[in-house]
Amino acid sequence: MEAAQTERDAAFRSYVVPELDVMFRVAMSLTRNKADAEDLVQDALVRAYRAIDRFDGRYPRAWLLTILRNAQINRTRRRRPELLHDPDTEMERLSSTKSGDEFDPEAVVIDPVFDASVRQALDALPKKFRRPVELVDLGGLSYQEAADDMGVPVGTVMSRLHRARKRMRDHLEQTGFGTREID
Amino acid sequence: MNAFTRFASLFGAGKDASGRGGSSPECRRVGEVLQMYLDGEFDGDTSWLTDHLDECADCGLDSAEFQQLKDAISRLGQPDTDTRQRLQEFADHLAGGEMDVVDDPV
Repeated sequence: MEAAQTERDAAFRSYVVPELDVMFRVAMSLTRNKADAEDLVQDALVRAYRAIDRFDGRYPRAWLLTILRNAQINRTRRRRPELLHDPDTEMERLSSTKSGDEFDPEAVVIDPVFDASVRQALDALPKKFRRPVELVDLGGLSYQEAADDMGVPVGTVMSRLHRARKRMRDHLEQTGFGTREID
Repeated sequence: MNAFTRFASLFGAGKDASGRGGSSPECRRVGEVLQMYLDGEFDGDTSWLTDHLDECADCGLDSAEFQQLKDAISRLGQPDTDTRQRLQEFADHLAGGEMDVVDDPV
């Protein structure tokens, strides 16, 4: 029994722990909220720990993303619709740096308003264009990993991703960001 | 000066600040693979590409804008130090057998 426990813990440390950042990034793409993303990752970690003795060790990232997605589906089912993402509230949250929801200091120095505008441009994309951006740029996945997650060919991911970024760039310019001055 | 136009002055772009690459055959060739290159998904020799980005202000600006956009999107999903530490501690507790979750329903 103890040997099995040790084996489980070792597998968890080997396959799961190195993927914590990627799990959080993809959770952010699913929840759009840091607190919810953290809860979702913890939920997925528990599920992964319970299931790891049945995991064959191949493609741990793909396995974890499936767990994460299933955990999110279950969480969404339990929630009320009014708790779903509100773009206006999100914009307000992203534009502020209130304590208790700190941003990475480096990101704040770079330009939080620009980042909030980028979020707005991302939210304005149709879902089929937004998803590859979320998976590749926000989640840090490769084209192949994004294609596997979306169930589409790699070429489709590339095409949608590249078009999406061009749309986002156009959106940033058209919404007046191009004329805004900062200190 | 905003985050995009900052690059225009940085690169000294001559055409306009919107950055849509140049119009030469070489510029079009760069435009076809630029995003793959920035994503680290472009296999093969990239010296011709990097040389062109160094020499062509329009394509250099295009590259800088896409890179800046990618960086900004990436920051939206980046865990802050406290979050990263809490998740690491949570994982350590799980792997250390300090949480009896194996037989508990999630």
